[in-house]
Amino acid sequence: MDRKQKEKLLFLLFRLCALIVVATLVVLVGYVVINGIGVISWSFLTEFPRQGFTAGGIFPAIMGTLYLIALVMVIAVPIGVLTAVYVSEYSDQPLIDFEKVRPRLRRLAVTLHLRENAEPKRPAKVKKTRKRGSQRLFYRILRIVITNLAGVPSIVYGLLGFGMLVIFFNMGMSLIASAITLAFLVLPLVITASRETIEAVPYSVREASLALGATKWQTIRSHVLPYSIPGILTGVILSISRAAGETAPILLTGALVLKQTLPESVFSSYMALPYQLYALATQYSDATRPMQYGSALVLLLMVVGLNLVAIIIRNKYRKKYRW
Amino acid sequence: MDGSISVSNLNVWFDTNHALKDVNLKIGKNEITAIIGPSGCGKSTFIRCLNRMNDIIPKCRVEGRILVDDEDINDPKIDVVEVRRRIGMVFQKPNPFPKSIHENIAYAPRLHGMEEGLKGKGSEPKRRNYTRKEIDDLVEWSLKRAALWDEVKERMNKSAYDLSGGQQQRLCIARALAVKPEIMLFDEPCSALDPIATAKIEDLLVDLKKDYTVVIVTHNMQQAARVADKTAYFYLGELIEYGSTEQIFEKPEKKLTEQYITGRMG
Amino acid sequence: MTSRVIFQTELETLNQEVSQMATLARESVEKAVQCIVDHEPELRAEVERLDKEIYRLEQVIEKRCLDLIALHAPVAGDLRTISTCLKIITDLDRIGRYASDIVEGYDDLASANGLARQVNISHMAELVVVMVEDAVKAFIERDPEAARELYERDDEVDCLYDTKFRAVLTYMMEDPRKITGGIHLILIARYLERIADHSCNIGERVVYMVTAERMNPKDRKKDHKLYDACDVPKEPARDSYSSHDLEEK
Repeated sequence: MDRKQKEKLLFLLFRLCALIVVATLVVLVGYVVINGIGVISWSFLTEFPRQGFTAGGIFPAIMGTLYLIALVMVIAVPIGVLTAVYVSEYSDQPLIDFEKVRPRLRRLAVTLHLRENAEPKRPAKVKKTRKRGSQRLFYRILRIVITNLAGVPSIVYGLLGFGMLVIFFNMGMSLIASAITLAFLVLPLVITASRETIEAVPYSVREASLALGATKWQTIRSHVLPYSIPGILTGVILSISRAAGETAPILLTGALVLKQTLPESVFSSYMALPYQLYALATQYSDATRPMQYGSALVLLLMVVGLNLVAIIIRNKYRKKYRW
Repeated sequence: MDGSISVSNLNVWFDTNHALKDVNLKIGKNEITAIIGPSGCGKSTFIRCLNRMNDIIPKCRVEGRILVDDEDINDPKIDVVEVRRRIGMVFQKPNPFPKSIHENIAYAPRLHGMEEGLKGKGSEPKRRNYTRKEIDDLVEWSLKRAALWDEVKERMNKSAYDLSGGQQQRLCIARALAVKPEIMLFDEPCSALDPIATAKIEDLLVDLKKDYTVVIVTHNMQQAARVADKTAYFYLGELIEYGSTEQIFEKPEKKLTEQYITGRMG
Repeated sequence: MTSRVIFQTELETLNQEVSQMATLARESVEKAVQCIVDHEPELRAEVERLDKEIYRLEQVIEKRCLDLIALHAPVAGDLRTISTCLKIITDLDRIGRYASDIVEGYDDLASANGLARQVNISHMAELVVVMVEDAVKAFIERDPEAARELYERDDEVDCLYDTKFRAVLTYMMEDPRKITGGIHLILIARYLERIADHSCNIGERVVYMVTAERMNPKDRKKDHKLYDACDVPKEPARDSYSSHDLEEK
């Protein structure tokens, strides 16, 4: 067959693939929506579950998930953004500048009577400008770590959270333990997305700001970060979806199937939608089926809703700082 | 404030590449000095030394003294931020911030604050924040000085990216002027511009030299001939010849200089 | 072709044309002197023809120089070369005109009743011819030393002119029939002296072209009244010996 026919065939193939993806999504969502829509009502959203999850609502689970998302954002976004800034902007500076530290160490040694005087034994070596081998290694390791964090299975995060936070740091099964665990999970997303946009800011803008007498941090704060907000928000969107939907980490660190009250403090346990779904589907009778679909739909809508809010904010910033 | 620059034994290395070799040069106050030379001769490197912009390049090492106002700006104790305020730079490609015209110019003065009191040698002048009116006045003054006010006064809050190339470059000049430097450095400011915009900027340069010391790097020799009082010719990292523009273009002393300016190099 | 190659080619053409014009000017002076001193009137037409050619070349060269300046913005050595060419073509053109003027006076001189034999300008003419030759050579070979020398010889020529002027004046006062011829002789001597001056100018321009130095105005004209010993042969005797004979002594 000739080129044009081949092209037509390939395009047909592409369209088919896209159709399959869309169809899958439609079927999935449609299934949940159709089965769950009948259950949603105001009382469903605001009441506690009763009678073994066959009546009442899923209010505590909704609130639990919302608390969790909020906590995860509060922990992950600042750490992630600042890490991204560090890796992109300050990676040329050594972690510990020995040239500056040595004189101070010498002076300290003198006061502690470990040395005679603060003069260097050998004359200061001409500073080589190549990055020290150890410094380079540090950044290579850092980059590898960040990338690989994204690939760790979520159950491993759950175990880590359990062993380290719940037991070792004695936080107990709590919101905070889950939030920190999920934050670790979500960190690579935030860091990567932030880094991409930070590095996308053209060098010339930074140069201009520095030439005007701004410090590096002033430049980043005024000219790099504002233009990175759309990218950071992308990272936020992705992490909301992830955090809201993960089951394994939270079941090992604080989620309960049933709790009669809302969580009192960050150190208390809680209910969450994903875990509730899992528990209902595997351990409870078919009578709870309506509640299962209801939870699924609510979770879906919540994630979509939160994402929409983030997208709207992102678009607003995109317009404001257009290139 | 003197404004003249005295460079002694300046050497610059990029990793192991010896980019500038033992440069000695005195730049006069309230003059336009042009730096000419073929690509890769080190002229951009040289001018970037004058306001410590080479610091931000990771593998760069600078040795030598650069005295401005009897202070060596390469001294580790000196405040780099203050150096860059007093020695402004305009780059080859216009690089306004993606903000409004007003914001572009107001950014740096707001950062530094307004100077108060006399500056004694080595002491920091007291600084306070600008009031809004002062900022607006400063913005207007800068734009007028850069011959851009009439063209943009109606659209101060529009994005700087809506301006033409020549206007953007004048905006960058206004932005640099707003922090009241003594010395202005221009790194090939007209190479991205059309001839009319270039002519406007050249007129502006001649006007600026009344109040500032101007150093301009250019690969366009005619521009150097038109605009500069003194010209320095660099080749392969060395300063070959430095003298009045008339002398360099009528009767250069070194054969290398003559070869370059008559176009017979290479 | 790059513009540098075009520029180079144009510069070479310019050089050739100016050299050619200079050679023609030298030829015309030689022939003019030959005509007057050796009595060869048939050379008149030749000198006229050369003059026209010189004039034509001047216009061509001037245009070429201006084109080079307008289109190529020459600097340094190139600029000095081009400005030198622009200026010396004026001098060369004047030399050509003077040569032509010299031969115009041939008829009147011939009728001057032997005055030409009495006041012999052949030595002066020889000097001037050599000066023109040397000026042209200095330009073609770009030799500033040779160019500087011309000034001394110009002084000599000026001296000779003064001498001849006074001599002819004396003869004219003695014998009014010789006035017409005498005036022509003086004019011819004057033209020769002017040709020498123009040769000096050319030399001055060559010095500038090569070294970028300009002559000190004080060096231009020495005061002849102070200049005692003109290195010239004795004045021809009034009994009309040919000065050739005197020189051989």
